[in-house]
Amino acid sequence: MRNRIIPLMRKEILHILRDPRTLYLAIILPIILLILFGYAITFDVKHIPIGIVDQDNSSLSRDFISRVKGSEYFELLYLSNTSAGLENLLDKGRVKIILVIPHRFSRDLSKGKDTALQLLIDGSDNNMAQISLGYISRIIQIFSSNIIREKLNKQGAILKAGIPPIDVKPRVWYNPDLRSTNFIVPGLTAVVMMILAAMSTSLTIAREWEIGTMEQLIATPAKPYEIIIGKLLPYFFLGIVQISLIILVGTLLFRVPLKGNIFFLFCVSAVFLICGLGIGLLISTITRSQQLAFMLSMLFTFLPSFLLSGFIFPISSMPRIIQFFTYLVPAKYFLIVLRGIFLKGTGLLTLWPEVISLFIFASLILLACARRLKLTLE
Amino acid sequence: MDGIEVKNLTKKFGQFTAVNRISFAVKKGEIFGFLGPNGAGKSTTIRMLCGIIRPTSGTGSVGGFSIDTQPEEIKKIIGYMSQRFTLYQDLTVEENIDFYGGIHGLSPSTKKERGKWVLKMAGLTGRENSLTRELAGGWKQRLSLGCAILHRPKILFLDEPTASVDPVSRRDFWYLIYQLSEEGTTVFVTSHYMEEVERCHRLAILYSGKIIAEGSPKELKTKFTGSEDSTLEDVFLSAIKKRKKQ
Repeated sequence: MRNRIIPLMRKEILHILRDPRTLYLAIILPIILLILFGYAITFDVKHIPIGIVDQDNSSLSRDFISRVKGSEYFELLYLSNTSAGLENLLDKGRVKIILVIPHRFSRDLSKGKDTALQLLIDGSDNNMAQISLGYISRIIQIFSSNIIREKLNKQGAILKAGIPPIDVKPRVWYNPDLRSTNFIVPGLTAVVMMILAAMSTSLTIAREWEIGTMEQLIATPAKPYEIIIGKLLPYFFLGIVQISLIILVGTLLFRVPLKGNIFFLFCVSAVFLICGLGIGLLISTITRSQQLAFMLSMLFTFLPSFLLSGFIFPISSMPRIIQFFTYLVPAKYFLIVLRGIFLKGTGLLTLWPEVISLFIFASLILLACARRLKLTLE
Repeated sequence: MDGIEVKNLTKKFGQFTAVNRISFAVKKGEIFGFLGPNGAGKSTTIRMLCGIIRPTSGTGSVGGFSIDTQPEEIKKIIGYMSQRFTLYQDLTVEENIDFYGGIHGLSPSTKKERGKWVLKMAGLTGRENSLTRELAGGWKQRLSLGCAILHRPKILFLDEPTASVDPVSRRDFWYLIYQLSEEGTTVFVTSHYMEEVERCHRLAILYSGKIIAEGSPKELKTKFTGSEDSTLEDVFLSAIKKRKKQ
């Protein structure tokens, strides 16, 4: 008996090479997404436009303003002595935050009285609001603790060294500069690979049904498993090319560190690819139309991998019920593995629970495929 | 036994009975026509015989193998050309031939020899590297037939083979079918064209899943209209009328 998988594979490769859409999906899409996400969407908030109303106009208030100006987090776009027309600035979105220094600011402080600053924040972008509130609070905190220290120092020699306020010296592990590309590239890898694997297989099988060649294939001596393997293997290799590409672009262009074992990375990617190909295969047993296959692939792979994997939104802050659903998303496990390998340099020793989960997912989905295919093809 | 034999073959899709207890036999080398309007159950029958779908009840054998238990054996000895020209449009003529040769397990030398023969038969010598989508209907159809008989099947199933080609191509096509039949290939062909089934050795008329008439074109004409000079259309209409009276 001759091997029928080879001619099936050869035919599938010709389809891929002649259909620019598949190649676009596999090669160009990940690069476009990487560049979009890597450059445009950044979670590092810097240069927040700020407006300051200095009603006090004292050396103390100017000292405070210079501290805000000196920080890279804010950009002082507006400085005035009166609060007239300020809301307008916020309305138009020219500044995201307005700080009002009241006219008794320095007087109160010199008398040792409490004083208050007014802070207006644009809450329509709540992510930005949270972050800028955090930054400005920290600047104010440092400023006020300095004042207290000076005061106490003046009052007596008892506190020669001053009262040491508790000082936090944070050290961020694995991603010391908190660069969001380091966080995005591994996440994007999972999403993009999932889309390609599921969409390409469900579309290619739906296409054969649509043009009628699937029926022709079933009438040949080729066995269903041969047809399926012949169809999936080329996409499996395409997925491997894809991840190599992402690793290259990620490490060379975006300088994402690759600390772990690259061979281990490819092994886990292979298992993850099988999950994606399996989902695509399952979709193809539900529908024989390319359009529906496309939509179902989006629904079952792109959205969960994007929203429920922990790629952008941390799973720990999701409602319980949604958290439960994330266990059904293979990208969740792959993401942990990817971040582990890329950023932490960890291996199978720590990542085995995720690797096993991926194996279980892949086997279950292949089992489901085998059962469904028996129903539709035989 | 290189023919077809079918007894009480039935296929139901849910509540709908597509093929209802039909029985017939086709001898080796015979061209057997299956005539009937759209939806009569022709394609369903052909798909059961090719092992693509399983019958609900009844028995049948193709080339001596049971359609119920040995579809894999059947697939090795048949050629099947479905309603639509099932070639890959984005592949070249040669790539299509190569693929169907490979999937039928031909050795490289046989594939080469048969491939050349198909090109000649379809009149496509010199156009091996053309994309299939660029071919005109008649050529596509002959290439489609060529791909279905690359592996020298003993029994050939043709589902509405000339539905979308011009009369000249249809005539050329039937010339090929006669040749195959003379070489001993059994041919089972469905159609809703009277003129087409006229060329068959024997035919059965299928109506709402049941065979309502069977015999050679001559026999049927005498039986249903009393004259050999009548057309198969007359036969068809009179058979249906008779059926409705029952």
